[in-house]
Amino acid sequence: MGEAPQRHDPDDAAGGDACDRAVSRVLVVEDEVIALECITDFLRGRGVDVLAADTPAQALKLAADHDIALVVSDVRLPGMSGPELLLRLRRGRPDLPAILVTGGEVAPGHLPPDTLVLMKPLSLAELAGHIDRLLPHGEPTCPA
Amino acid sequence: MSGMTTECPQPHAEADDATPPRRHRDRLWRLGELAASISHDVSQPLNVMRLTAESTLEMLSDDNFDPEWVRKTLRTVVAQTMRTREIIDGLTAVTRRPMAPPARLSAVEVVRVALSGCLTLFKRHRVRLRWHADLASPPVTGHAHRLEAAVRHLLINACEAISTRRLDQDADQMRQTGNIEVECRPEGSGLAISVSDDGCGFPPALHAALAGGEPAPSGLGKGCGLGLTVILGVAEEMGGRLSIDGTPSGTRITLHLPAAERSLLLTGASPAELASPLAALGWSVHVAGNDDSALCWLQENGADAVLADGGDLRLLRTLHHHAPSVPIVAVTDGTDDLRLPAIEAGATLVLSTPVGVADLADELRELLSYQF
Repeated sequence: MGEAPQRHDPDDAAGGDACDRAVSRVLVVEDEVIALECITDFLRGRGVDVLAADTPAQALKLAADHDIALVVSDVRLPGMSGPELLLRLRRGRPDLPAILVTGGEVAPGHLPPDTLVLMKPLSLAELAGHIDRLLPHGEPTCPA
Repeated sequence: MSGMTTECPQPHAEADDATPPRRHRDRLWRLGELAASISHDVSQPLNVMRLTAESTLEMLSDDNFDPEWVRKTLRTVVAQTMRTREIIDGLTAVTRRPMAPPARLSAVEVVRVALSGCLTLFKRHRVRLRWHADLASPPVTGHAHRLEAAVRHLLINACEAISTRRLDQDADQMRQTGNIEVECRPEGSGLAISVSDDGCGFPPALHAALAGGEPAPSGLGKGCGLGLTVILGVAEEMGGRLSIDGTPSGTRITLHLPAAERSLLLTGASPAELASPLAALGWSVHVAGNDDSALCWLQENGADAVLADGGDLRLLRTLHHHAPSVPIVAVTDGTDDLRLPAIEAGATLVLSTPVGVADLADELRELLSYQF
């Protein structure tokens, strides 16, 4: 009998301890609040330390204040696209692993290097598998 | 971009010198733009539905699941299916060849509906809205849902511009609200609907493309360029145009639309000599030879206003009975005794002879400005 996933306020960015889980901290950026809640709840229920942002501005601020191990971002966001956001985040962290989620096509020339693209509708299990693979610690984050 | 104005010629459906293969290619590409837009828009609720369903399955794997939480998620799925329907209806409404002929619209009312549909968007982008509607704004001819879609796209673009500007601000500035001002006002013989924002300004590349009459280029992650295409298309089909002004604080985009032609029915005993001068002022005038033909015309064709003999109380009553929403201007010979009976019989306004054309046109314009 597993523990039921808990509902979290997406504005509640402080999703975990400051230091000990930084290595596996995932920043999720999605302007569709219900989708953001589903992803963050699912990942937190599996032990992933998640920071949630529903705007690129909020994502940039969270990334400035916390160590991020991986970014999961929607492509179409208000004010700045997911690839543009990723380019900004990688200014200080060129090797930052990232997953972009899109409902449409992403032209190859616009895709930042070393970035995984997942299509909507997104599968939570598939996302968890990719996050597990891309996180740098090398240990499974998402228990089966 | 401040101080710069771009008048946007309408995009060419097909270049005049385009060869047939190129025309087919252009058509296919535009179909592709539309398909990409539909695909993207529909994928949003589909994504929410799938994520919600998977979360619910996850929840149900726990024996102690909360039934209320499951009900809530199922309601979310139901709401997203309706959202999908609305997206498809909205897209087909603005892209399909109109099934019904264009009709007379209150642009003020259409803008009001578009604004009410964007309240969630304004909240999400932290936008303060100022809305000014001049009640003297004349009606226009078009399709309400298409004009509404065009206005909604103007508002979405304004919100996007405000969010983009925030990205270059510090944390304190980021928390401040953005401002959008929407105005609907008479302009010459037509009206203007303008949307001003204090966002990042209009992209110069887009200015150049629109000034050249090209369809809006796509921007990665910022839609498929369909919004401006819809706005330009609606402006064109309504006989209007679009202008873009750089302002000191942002951008003002204005949709300039011609007023709908107004129709006036002159009944037999009314001053028929007014017909030609009123037609010269843009009125579509029909002169009915007698009371019966006036009534038939009104029932079959309708009219924006009727000019009738104020002494013919029976006709006034009949016209008012059959078309109570159509204002009737009764013309009397100046006898005060006829004023009250004419109003009681259904006249909206009573004028005394001699009636000047310019004065009558002013009275009619003012009268009709309150019809919506």
